[in-house]
Amino acid sequence: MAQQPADTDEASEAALHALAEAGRQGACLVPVGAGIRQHPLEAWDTRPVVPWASTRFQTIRRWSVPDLTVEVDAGLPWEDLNRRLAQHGQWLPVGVPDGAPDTLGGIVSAGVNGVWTGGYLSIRDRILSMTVAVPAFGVVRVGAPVVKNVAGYNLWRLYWATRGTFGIVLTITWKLAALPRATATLTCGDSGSLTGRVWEEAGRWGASIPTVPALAALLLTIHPSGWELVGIAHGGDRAMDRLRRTLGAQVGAGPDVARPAALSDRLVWQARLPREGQRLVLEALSRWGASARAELQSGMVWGYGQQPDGASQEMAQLVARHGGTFRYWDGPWRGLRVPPAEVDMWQRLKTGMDLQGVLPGWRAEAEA
Amino acid sequence: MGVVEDLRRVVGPGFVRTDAALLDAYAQDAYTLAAIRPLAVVWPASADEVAGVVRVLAQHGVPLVARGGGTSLSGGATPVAGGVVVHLSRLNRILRVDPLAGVAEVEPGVVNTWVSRAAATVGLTYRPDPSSQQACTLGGNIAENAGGPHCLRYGVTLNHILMADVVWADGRQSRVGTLSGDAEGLDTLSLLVGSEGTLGIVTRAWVRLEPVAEASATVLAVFGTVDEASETVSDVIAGGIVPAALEMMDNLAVSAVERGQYRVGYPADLGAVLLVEVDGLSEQVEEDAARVQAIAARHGVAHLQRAASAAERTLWWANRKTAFGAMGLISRNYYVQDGVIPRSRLPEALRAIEQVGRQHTIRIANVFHAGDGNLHPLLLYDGRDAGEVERVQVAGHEVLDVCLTLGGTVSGEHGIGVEKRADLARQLTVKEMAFQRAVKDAFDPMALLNPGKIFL
Repeated sequence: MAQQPADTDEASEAALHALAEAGRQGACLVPVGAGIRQHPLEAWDTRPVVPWASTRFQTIRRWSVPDLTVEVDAGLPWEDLNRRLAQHGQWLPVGVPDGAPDTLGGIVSAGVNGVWTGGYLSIRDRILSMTVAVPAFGVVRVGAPVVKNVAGYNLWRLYWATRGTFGIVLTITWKLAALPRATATLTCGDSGSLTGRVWEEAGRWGASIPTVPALAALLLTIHPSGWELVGIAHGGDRAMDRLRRTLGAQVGAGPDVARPAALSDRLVWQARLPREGQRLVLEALSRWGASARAELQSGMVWGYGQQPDGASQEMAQLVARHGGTFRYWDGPWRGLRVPPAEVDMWQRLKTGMDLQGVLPGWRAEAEA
Repeated sequence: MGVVEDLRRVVGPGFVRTDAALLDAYAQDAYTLAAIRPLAVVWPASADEVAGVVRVLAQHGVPLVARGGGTSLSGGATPVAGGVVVHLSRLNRILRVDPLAGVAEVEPGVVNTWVSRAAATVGLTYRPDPSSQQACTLGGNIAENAGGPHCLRYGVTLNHILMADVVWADGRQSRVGTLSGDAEGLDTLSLLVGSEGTLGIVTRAWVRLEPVAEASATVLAVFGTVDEASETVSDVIAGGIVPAALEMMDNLAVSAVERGQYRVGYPADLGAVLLVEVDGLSEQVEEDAARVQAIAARHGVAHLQRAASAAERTLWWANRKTAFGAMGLISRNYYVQDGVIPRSRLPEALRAIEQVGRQHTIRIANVFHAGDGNLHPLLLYDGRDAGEVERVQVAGHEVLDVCLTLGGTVSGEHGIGVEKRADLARQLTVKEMAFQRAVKDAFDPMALLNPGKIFL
């Protein structure tokens, strides 16, 4: 009756072998996904670092079209999955904000929230289940492949944004969405720094669409020469036609929001803020002439391009002052704040799962 | 000095009780098949008092269970032998409703509907709406990761808790989560939600409030057979429609609820009734409601109706939400189960559950969240008949076996508690259970927080 143990397939065996080998060599095993955001591996640990390349495994394991659920290997790039899902009118609303072909395991391990976070929630909330290779327990399933489950602790959340610290993600079961029947797009923009017009337009669009959420995405792009605001609505034909009549929206296929033409650089960091904090941070970024994007309904902000020394750190401090979270998209955890009351608990948990410390740890900053 | 005296020093002498009659009242929650008289009941009035209580109990090695409204259906708040009940009913304030940020700051003893009512005053709503929402508290909702009919589209409690203040097993306190809705690194909040009080005690929470959609429509569809209704559910989901709620009641459930206070006037010979609510832009609502009605028609619906007024909608929902209690009108006792199956397996799941009932000569009514495959079979029995009590418990476990066989899980929203510990051990492998246990051991190494729950 128990869930089928998942440690008999090739990916599981390879992961267990890699964990054992790293343990024998006194090395640190680091999952690297597609490797496109690779920080120098030496930065991860003082010990020798062995990469775990999940891209060898890219199978769609189980796709229940009527249930809108799919189980995939962690090494499958998100765009490849969406191309397959489109055959049956479904998709996973992720949309990596620089359009890079990240793997689904990489998206989970780095905690990447994409451009559809406002309209479709964090991609984290679409994870139903995973199989993970954990040094202390072998290959185990966390969560369950159904859309509702409270049987035990929410262990799959341990793997969101924790960069392989608690195990190697092998497969992920996602809750899918139906592709929208119609799309409408609203746009405005200007040269120069952000002005009050951005917030007026965003507010006007939101007030004209009194639903939850108002839009599938409300994306602001800022770059040294100006800004653009794009609102994308998903729904049926009649609802989209109303947006055309009342707001002048373009009905039809929208822009490729995962690849903003104005931003050619790669993503460096991601922040999420409460509404007012997001506005203040974006205005600061605009004044600094930085390149960034934001999803205004969800509080997401993404920073692009190489930045001068210390700029990212300054941004992290600014985000923290406004009640937000900040994380780099590459490399090991930096600047992680753990409340003193929780340090021992998390250390016990890490030890309980990875006694030898074969997987990466974290660099915690003491929090007052 | 004894533990009771030490507790009195923390919360004041009037807020620690040990009299037998009161202890008996706290011996069980809404799961009535287990009862254990606690050593004492204590009512702290602040986070610091909760921390003080936990420290005292840790010093004495006395286990505790935190209690909210006592509405757990899996025995999540059943006391521990020799342990203390920490009742959080004095932490019952809504501290702030921030309409701009869409956040309410609440204490754990606040009743679920109080939050909804406070949010409504600023045009917002709090989505999780368990059927016990008139009595259950936010602290309990967080502990059990509570759901409800309207969680189909908008998510369960886990998706609506942004931040929380917590007292840990050693009495230390910290704040977990962030107002932005994203965890900073180690996601303690996500572990805490649904942990059934076994990892920490929430003393304050910041919950997400959302605007009410411009329009909604509630469609009632009456079918001659359960299969027709089940197939309609499967096709609605497969068609990419995400209703705000999609509920089903079968004939036996309807026969009970129609004897209650909120009568809709359903035909006596129906097989099943679906209650489907869609919301969004008015044009979208019209499209979705029309598609739902067309799907129902394809499956031979006998009667279709859209709520013509707010009063009618309210009546239909009151009828649905009082269905559990209405079982008392047709049976001396009932035992509610909670399991989840893949939504496409609904027809065969209901047939298998009917078979379980026949095998054990137990009447089973079905009232459930069909849209997310979350079944709630209600097993009717007479508690005076020991043999029937035994049969109903066996049948309950067999219902969960049906869920597991179909690729589901043993709980969708009621939790494991004391009721389903053996079922969870059947669902998970030995290694997976050890993994769950490792989390408990890391957060509560002395096993003082609600021991005897989740794990055998």
